[in-house]
Amino acid sequence: MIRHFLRMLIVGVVILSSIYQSVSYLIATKELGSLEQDPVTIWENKFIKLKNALPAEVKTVGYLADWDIQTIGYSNGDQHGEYVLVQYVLSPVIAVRGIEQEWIIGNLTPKAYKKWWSTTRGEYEVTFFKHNLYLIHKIEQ
Amino acid sequence: MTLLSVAIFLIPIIIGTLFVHLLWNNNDPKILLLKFALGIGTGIGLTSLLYFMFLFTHQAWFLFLLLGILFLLGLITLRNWKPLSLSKRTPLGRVQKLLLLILAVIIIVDLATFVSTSLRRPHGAWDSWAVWNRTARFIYRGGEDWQRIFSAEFYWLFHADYPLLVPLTNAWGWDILNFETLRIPMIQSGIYLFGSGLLLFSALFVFRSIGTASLATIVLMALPDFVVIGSSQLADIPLAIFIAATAILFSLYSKYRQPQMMALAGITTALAAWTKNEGLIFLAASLAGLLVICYKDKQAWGLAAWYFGGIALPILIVVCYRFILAPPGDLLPSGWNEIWQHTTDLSRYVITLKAFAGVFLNISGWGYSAGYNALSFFLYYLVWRRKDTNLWSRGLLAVVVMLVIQLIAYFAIYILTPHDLEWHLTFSLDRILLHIYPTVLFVLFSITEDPENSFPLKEPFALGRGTR
Repeated sequence: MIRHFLRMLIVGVVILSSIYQSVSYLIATKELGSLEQDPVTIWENKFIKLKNALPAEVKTVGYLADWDIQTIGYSNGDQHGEYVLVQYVLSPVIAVRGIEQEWIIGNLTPKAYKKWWSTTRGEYEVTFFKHNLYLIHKIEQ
Repeated sequence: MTLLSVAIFLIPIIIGTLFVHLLWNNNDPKILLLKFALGIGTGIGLTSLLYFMFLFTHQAWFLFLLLGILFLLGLITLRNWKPLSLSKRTPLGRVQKLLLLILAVIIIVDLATFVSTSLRRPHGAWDSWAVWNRTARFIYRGGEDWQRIFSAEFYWLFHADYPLLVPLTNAWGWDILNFETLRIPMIQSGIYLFGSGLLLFSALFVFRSIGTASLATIVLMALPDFVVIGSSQLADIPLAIFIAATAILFSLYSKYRQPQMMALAGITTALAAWTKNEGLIFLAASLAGLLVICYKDKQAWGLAAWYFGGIALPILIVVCYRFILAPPGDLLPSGWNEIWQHTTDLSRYVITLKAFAGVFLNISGWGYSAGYNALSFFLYYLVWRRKDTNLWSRGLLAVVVMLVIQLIAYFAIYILTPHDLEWHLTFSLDRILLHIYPTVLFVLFSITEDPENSFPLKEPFALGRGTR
């Protein structure tokens, strides 16, 4: 009798708990973000003009962001996240950290850009885009 | 575009189902459902391997190749078709109807959750855009330069060494549509999510009863972590499917004694290794399972031959990919010195054990329900355990051995990881334990009583008990 009661109880708990958490999670998906535009799509849109400006034959670019500029503060998590997003958006072009490549994508706050520009050596041609994005072309190899 | 994307996935699913059907010739409707569930992963997995080989040809007629294979398998199936063996039907009992109804509600809620998640995060989660979908983009957009996915220039976070089942499936989908739509990774994700539910349901329907199958599937499909990961275009649920499929096939062999199942188990094991690096670990676990099955069995050599016959070609492709094309992985320490340091550092064991205990005891992860942790599974087992003397078939023992090996290997990876241990545990542990979750449920509900036989019913027996 007790065993039978326990069996009913545990199945009841499993079922009720299952229904509760399924519905709760469905409701919680609202917190995942807006139905209109997600952050990745926003990044894709930010890069449309820059990607068009990049010569078609370029297969690898450099990637310069705030974390590369000395004395500029940054959030490590945000910088990693943005780098991953930039690589995803640029596919099939590989974005390598640093400025060794002829073409470099700059993702720099105005302060970081100014700092980089003031300390950099060599000749660069910079095209400015919205959202703190720069297409940097190293003229001297 | 959504319907078209769904439609193109039907081709590999039907190919997989016909392939499984031809290897395992049984026309019981219940078994046909299980063969369909096994065919989903098998078909999509084999298609991705085929597309991998096809990429080297730089041709553009993959759709015709798939249709040709579909036509050929369809023709062979029709030639060998036998009428459905409709066993005596027993009407559904009240408990069974109730459990099926609750399962239907859970599935509908999950569908809504899947759609909501997919619309709000159309590119998936972090690992989707860092690894799986990024690789797919490189393959599709890269054209003849697709092998740049293996470039050593990638930062380690992009995991250029990860296996290719999921990215290649996206890439051939776009290739056939000639258009890069987000619907393809979304639908692939959904197929694996709901396919895993169907696999567990159909397997327990064959092994146990419709009530047990429904209850187990309710538990699986109500776990928020499982649904959210399954809706996020990641490779964890596909891996879970292949692990569960291998486990089910080992158990099926114990029940039906048809050696062809070992060939299928070999294929699903290779596909696990083609899905994620953890699938390579599963290769060792599956071989251990094979040993358990073959131990003192009269047909041992024959069974091993079937298994290796199934695994040989796909694993050869995986091995070539892993050791010739892919760059080295980032999860193993760089040298013996580091391995020695990590293995002799007791604090790493304490941290890892705490994290495992946290997940198993539901302190963190695995959703937010009291109903989903090792303790409640144990309690369920205590209350519902079967008293049959032949409860533990050789197949089920093999499955338990595989699960234990997989868990020990995961533990060992954390001990050895060159990354920050706490970071690694935080961002992966609850996700990788989902790899074995459907298989754990399969074992749990295989060794417990059927609910319809414990509650007062007008109908004394469950549908499907006749074949037990």
